Amino acid sequence: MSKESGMVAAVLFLVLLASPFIYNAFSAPPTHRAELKLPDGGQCVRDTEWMRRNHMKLLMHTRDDVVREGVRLDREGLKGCRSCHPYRGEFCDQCHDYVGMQQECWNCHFYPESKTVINDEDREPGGTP
Amino acid sequence: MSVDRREFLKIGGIAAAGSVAGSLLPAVTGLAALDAGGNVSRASGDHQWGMVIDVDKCTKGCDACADACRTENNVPLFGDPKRDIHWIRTITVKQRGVEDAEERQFPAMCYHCENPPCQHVCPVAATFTRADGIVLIDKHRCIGCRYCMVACPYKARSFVSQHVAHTWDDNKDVPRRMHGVVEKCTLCVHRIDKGEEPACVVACREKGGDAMSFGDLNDPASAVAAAVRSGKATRIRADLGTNPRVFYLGL
Ligand code: SF4
Ligand code: SF4
Repeated sequence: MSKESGMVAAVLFLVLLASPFIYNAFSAPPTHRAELKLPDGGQCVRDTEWMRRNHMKLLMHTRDDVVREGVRLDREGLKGCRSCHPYRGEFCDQCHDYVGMQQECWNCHFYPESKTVINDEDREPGGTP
Repeated sequence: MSVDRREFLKIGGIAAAGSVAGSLLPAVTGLAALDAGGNVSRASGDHQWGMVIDVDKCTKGCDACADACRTENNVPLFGDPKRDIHWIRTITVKQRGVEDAEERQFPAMCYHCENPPCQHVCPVAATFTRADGIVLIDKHRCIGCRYCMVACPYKARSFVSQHVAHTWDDNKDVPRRMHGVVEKCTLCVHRIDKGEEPACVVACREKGGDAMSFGDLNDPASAVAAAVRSGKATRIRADLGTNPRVFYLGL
């Protein structure tokens, strides 16, 4: 291999290596942003910073308490979430869709997706709430 | 802190005496047990929920309990008798070997056994007994192996073999289920925790023959405890040693 072709190969390799960064530098900013609709005022059951990282642990803990021990602290379970964040489409789904993290809660538990779905006149018989 | 042997035995004796006295006290809190905190309820061993079904009062052809159960617990019917889910069902029986024996009907369900074979075989401990004696399935854990269906001598359990459609008319207090788990009567645990009676019992009183009564077997004043004390109440297949908490009168 000649010296020139070696150089060309090296440059090509570097360009390929940097391609994700180059692509990002020239493409439009991401269109989807998680936009949580927050209730006016009120205080969550734990502080927000903690909830951001640990809400799943709290829900799991509440779940086991309810099912196994019969401790019904609705405030700390899904029902509690629902009482301030009534539609999961405006809350849970925002971040979960963004990071592609599936939520399996709604396979069985009730938590309506949005206001339009819950309006009586719009509800589809047999549709998923 | 070190406790010598004498001291330890003394404490043990006091604790044992205390627990005996505790179990003799009639339940004062009613259905929903309150903690000292005031508003946290927890299933407690002070209660042992049970049921007594009077077969003589069960009206032939009536299905009020089963209908009420389906509505309350969102129990689906797939329209395929092999796969349909039943939490409570009415069955007809006839004395074997007797000419012109009278046909009798009564509801059959999960009997919330004191010694539940279904729980013993569950490989992932999804089936468990709550402190107040209700045998439940943690559907978050159930892997759908169906060992429990084989183990239950009363055919009380059903497998959710296909997708269950969610509807707007579901009772939102009872979660629906994914296919691939096993389910059965929960004794309407969500109602008991609110201080209400199971839906079937209410339906039987209002629409049927008032054959079912629900209560605390630990509470000497309750109707169920009285029926059990009378010695007339029987358990189905008592020889199996499962010790159901649901008793029958007149069987
Ligand atoms: S009746 Fe069957 S399902 Fe219910 S507790 Fe007894 S063995 Fe388990
Ligand atoms: S089907 Fe579910 S509840 Fe039954 S034994 Fe298997 S894991 Fe346990």
